[in-house]
Amino acid sequence: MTALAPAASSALAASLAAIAGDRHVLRDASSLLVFEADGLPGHRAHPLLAVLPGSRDEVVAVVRTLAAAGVRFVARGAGTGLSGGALADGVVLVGLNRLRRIVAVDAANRTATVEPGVVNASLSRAVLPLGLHYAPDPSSQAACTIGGNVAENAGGPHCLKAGVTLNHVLAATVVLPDGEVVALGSADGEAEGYDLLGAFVGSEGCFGIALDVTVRLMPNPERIITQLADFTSVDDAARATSAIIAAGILPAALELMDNATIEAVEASVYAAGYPRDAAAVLLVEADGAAAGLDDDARAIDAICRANGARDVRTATDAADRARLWQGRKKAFGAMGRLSPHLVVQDAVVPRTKLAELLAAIAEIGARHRVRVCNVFHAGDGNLHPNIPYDATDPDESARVDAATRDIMRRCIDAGGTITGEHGVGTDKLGYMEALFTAPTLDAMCRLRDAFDPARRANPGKVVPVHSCREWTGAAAWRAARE
Amino acid sequence: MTGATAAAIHAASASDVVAAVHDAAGRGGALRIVGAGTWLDAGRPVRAGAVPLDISALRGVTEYNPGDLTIAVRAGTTLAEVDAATAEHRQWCPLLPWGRDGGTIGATIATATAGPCAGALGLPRDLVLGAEFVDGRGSMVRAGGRVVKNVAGFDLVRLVTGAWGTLGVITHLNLRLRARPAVDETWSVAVERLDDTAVARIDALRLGPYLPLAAEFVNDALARHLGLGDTPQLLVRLGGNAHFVAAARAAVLALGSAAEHPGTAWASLRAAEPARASTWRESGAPSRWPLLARSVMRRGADGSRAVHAHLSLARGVLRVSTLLDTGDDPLRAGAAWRTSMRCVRERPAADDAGGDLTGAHRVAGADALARRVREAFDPNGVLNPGILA
Repeated sequence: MTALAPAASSALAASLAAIAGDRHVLRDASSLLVFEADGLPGHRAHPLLAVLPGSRDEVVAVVRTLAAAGVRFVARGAGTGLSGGALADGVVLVGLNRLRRIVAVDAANRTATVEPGVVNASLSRAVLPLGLHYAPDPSSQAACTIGGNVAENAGGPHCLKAGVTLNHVLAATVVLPDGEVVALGSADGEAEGYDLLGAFVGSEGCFGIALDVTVRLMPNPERIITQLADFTSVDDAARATSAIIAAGILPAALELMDNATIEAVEASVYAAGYPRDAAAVLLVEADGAAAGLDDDARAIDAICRANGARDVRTATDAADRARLWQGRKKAFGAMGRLSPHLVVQDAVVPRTKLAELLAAIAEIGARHRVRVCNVFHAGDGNLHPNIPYDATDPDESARVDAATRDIMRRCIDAGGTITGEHGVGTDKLGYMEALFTAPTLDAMCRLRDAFDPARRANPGKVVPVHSCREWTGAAAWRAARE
Repeated sequence: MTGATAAAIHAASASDVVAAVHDAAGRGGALRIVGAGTWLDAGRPVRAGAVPLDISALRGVTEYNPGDLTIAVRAGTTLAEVDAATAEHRQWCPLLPWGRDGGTIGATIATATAGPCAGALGLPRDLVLGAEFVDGRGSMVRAGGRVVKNVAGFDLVRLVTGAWGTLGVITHLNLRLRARPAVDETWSVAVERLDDTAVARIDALRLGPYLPLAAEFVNDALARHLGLGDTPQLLVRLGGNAHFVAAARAAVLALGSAAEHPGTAWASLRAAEPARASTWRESGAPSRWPLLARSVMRRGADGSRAVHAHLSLARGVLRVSTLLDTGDDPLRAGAAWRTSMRCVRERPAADDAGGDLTGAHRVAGADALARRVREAFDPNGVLNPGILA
């Protein structure tokens, strides 16, 4: 499939405008500029045009129009992704932000059915009067959408105990790329048959567009205890992390920030009162029923001290807790002050390998002369090595790329994975063949083909095209014929 | 291949499985995947003539690092073996599915069988981190990984979990473990009548902060079978630290007349299904549990045939076993029960959550999509044909 000729493109735009209205089809370069990147610098692409449907019916009609025309498309929510996954390179971009209705809330069964453009944090705000919340809490939760969360199988600090998006999605109505509308999963009792919903969650926009999503809501905890443990060595903080988990305590969240991150946060407007001379801090939160929670907090305190913590302090009230969390949640923003651009990386290693990996990351950063700030979900072994840099400096950009490659390689060697919650998108395509065998990548391609035989949804993402045996076979056959 | 007989193929390794699948595909044959042989068909038999592929020799823990709370096991490993390995470190694999501990971990994941703790500790789909499987084309697929968070690539792990072997023969699994609770207590509460007061009290437990590890409503016949008493019971498992369990226990004792039982009650409940029985599973929104529970109580009282029934409070899943006499047709015996379930299952007419999809955009079931998935992984219908009928 090649780019559309200008005349065909105009005809397509007219068809889409007839569905969504003139002002919801964007074609001029300045209107399309907002779609050229997501939250990760270094990848840019320009859509052919963007269409912003305003209802489920309009989304279906748009997808059917694109199917009839054989045109490829990329679905996009808030564009806060960190893998270059929602970039549309010369194809149609389908923006879903106008679908932001909370369709139904079922308090007795603790579920909510929402349209894909509903913002993560606004769902929790809406169900607060019922004493409920939506648990997965990516750092971008004030902006990112449930549809995007489902596409990426998003995580967040509180996914340690509560689980990631996959564990909270019960059902979805999905328009497949060919325009068929199917119900996946079940909102009313547990579904039978293949777990196609499980396959859809985390499919990064390659399997279709969710028209609505039914999610599980969690009761707000009776009580929350938030602790900040202060370490003079990163290694100690990492060891304390595995010790807490190994002791059988499952905190709601267990986050590690290293000195580079602490410095960035404390120098910014988000200053949280972290000890600036600490090599690392752990932010540990226990929540749930009030009874027994103090025991968990005491055990966490004791384990941190036994592993070398200088001090462990407990948030005194809700405002203090919010301040401690503000530093963590806004750490990426704080790093933004350090340089024009920031690579937020994502990888996972077994929890017992955290100390070893943090040492390796420090060595890799020094070798490539880049500054790595670590702020991550330590309890899950989910690393976020972040590198502030200037993308306009080709030498520095090359060193950032080289350091990232080395870090990913080390994580794979340690038995880990290349992404825990951000997705493969465009950014991690190059690592897929190091992580998965050829038959496994081929199996992924076959699964995609069951959902999207024409490969028109989010083309070129997640699995390298040349990994798909039949696809390359067809290309070779065509080449031989010509 | 070792120990091959005309009747069954005994795989000693994953590459034996690859060879068996290639061989079967080559001659247009079919395979019936067998582990411990305890979950053979669930009333949906594999096509006659399929050759049994016995994978019970693919057995043993291949990697276990307690500090990571993950374990890697071959698919033919029994649940008892997983339990013994993890118990040493005060951990467990919280699947604890229906059936006996002689069943295999591979079958548990292949059938996505959940047990009484699934509401609190996770369904099979929540606990599998990685799966190695041989698909119907003989491809060895290594899906997922061994870390607890992983979104690299499309999710083939969720795909084979609950596929009943029809997308691939699972040969190896990576699983998430949990720490065993420091205190673990089992209580039963007699439920004589399910009036509004009783429902409100039990709902307070269901929706309150003291989430039990398990809470199963058990009908009178099953309660008698388990030695819990002569009336329907709510069987509750409480786990956590001592202060948490003390508070949770108080919440349970407030429900009514309660008695403590040894934790083995759960293994007995899991294994309670008799060898000759027709078992039905019904799943609905958890809030409708009183409706299901009342139908179970009525059913137990009619005395026509022994019926074991239990209902998960957290998940709204009801399992009913009609005990069979020799010569009974299992399908017919269950049919009467299933007919009575239909009225429980009735849904309000305007149930379309979305609201504004017009007639032209009707929502379809995913049957056609499921068929395409099957064809993508087992184009020749080699693996357990018929079991998802």
